[in-house]
Amino acid sequence: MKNPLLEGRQISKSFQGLAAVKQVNLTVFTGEMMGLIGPNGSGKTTLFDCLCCLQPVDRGKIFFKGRNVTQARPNQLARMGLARTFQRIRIYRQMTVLENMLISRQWRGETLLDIFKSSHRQTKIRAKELLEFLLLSHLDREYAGNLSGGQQRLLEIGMALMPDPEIILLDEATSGINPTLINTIKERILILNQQQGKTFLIIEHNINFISDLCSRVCVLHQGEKLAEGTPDEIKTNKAVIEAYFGR
Amino acid sequence: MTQFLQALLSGLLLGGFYGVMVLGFSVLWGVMGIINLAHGDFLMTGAYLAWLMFRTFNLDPFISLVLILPLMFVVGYALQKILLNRLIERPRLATLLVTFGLSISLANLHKILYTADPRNVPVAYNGSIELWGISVPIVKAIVFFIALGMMSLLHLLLQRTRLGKAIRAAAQNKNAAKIVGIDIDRVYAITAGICIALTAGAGAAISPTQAIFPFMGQPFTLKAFTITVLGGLGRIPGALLGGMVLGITEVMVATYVPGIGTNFGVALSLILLVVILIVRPQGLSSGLRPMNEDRS
Repeated sequence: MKNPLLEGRQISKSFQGLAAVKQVNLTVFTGEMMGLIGPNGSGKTTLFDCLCCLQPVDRGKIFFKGRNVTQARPNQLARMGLARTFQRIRIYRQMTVLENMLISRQWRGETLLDIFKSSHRQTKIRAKELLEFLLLSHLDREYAGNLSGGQQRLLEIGMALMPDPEIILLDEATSGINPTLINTIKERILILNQQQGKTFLIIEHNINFISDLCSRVCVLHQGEKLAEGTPDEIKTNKAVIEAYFGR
Repeated sequence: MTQFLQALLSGLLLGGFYGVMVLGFSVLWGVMGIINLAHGDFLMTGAYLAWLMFRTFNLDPFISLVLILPLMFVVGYALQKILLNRLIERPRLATLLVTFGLSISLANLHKILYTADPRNVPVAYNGSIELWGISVPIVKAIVFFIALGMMSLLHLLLQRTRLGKAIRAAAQNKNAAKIVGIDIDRVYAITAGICIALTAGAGAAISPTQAIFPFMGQPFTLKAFTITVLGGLGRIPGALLGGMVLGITEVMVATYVPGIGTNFGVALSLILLVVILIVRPQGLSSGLRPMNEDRS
């Protein structure tokens, strides 16, 4: 059995009295790909925000690599090896593709003097390698805002990969992207998982995408955990079908 | 013709100073969303520091920049950590009120310390030289070149260094910057340090050219508003362009409109602000939108 890498215990989060996440337990093991699904408004992104400490939890605890990180800051978690992408693509549109990649490698154990220097040569090499891996190398000098939606999504994944994280939280990585590019993203994620051992937690509405990639799926509904199991188990789970399609 | 060229040169020199004077205001607004109403008071503080060093150690105001810039960087860094950091997530009105309070406090603190009497820094070279029939004021020319130097250094810092990229990233998307490991609080504190140091540096640089008194800051804050509207938030070429437009307009009006004089500067900058907001609300360089696209 593999070790738990990221663990949320009894996570609860409310916004002005409205409970977005209610006592959710979730464990992602090292090297696995886990899916997180649920109808719109079920609390998936809020749970993501809590797990990477962008939102403080009301109750519950978060453990990353066995350490209690409930009170940690997002940049501290990032340095420990947690990366994420966002439902609404968050790249730096007024910077070039290469600059976007280089940014994602900043501030790792650097002194005050280091930050006044330009990026390390090794960082630039890694950025270029990753851009090639993500089929974006020909666009490295292009402003990120000029890229297509799919290319921006790939860039965001590249930025998440730059610090060489152990786990990547992908929030609707295929939203608004054409099927060809979805297949590219899927292929790249598989390579990252199988060849480099990266762990993924993936929010997705595209059930086929989840089924093709993930060994386990957790379903949220109205902020609560409704079910957890293999993709086949989830597809036939009555409570899940009811949550998605009604009675 | 000579009168026109003289006015143009004076306007350019003034515009260069305005360009560097506004940078701290513009970058702080663009990166952190803080409209610093105490901007002019930090400029005044820089001018007083130059005067103090001149009076105490007979130190040339331009040489005293070597001390004033790091000192005010520390002040800006601490100010961000202690005060401004608590305002970033608050409604903009809170920022305005707190920085307005800071402005009043700074001005009155200087009044208590040094009285309201105007002070000056009488450097020996405060004259002018004749070039092709045009009078070139030496101190203002030095200020102009120092301003260009400061702007170039800031441009290099923002474009070439890891810190600069982190500042730009934080300005464009705070959460995305956090999640890739950028320590936003540290970036903000360093940005505030740079902004306050630049502003105080601009104040020290003009200390030989104008009277220094505790309430000299507010007109500069108002002018900083106009120049930022003209040039855009956090944009160095925009700051220079906006500064030039205001500087040249001010001098041309003072030269060609009888009975106006140079004291019309603040009123003129506000008239310019209103005209620009009506005719071209996006600013001259379409830069009147925050550097950040998504503050969430």
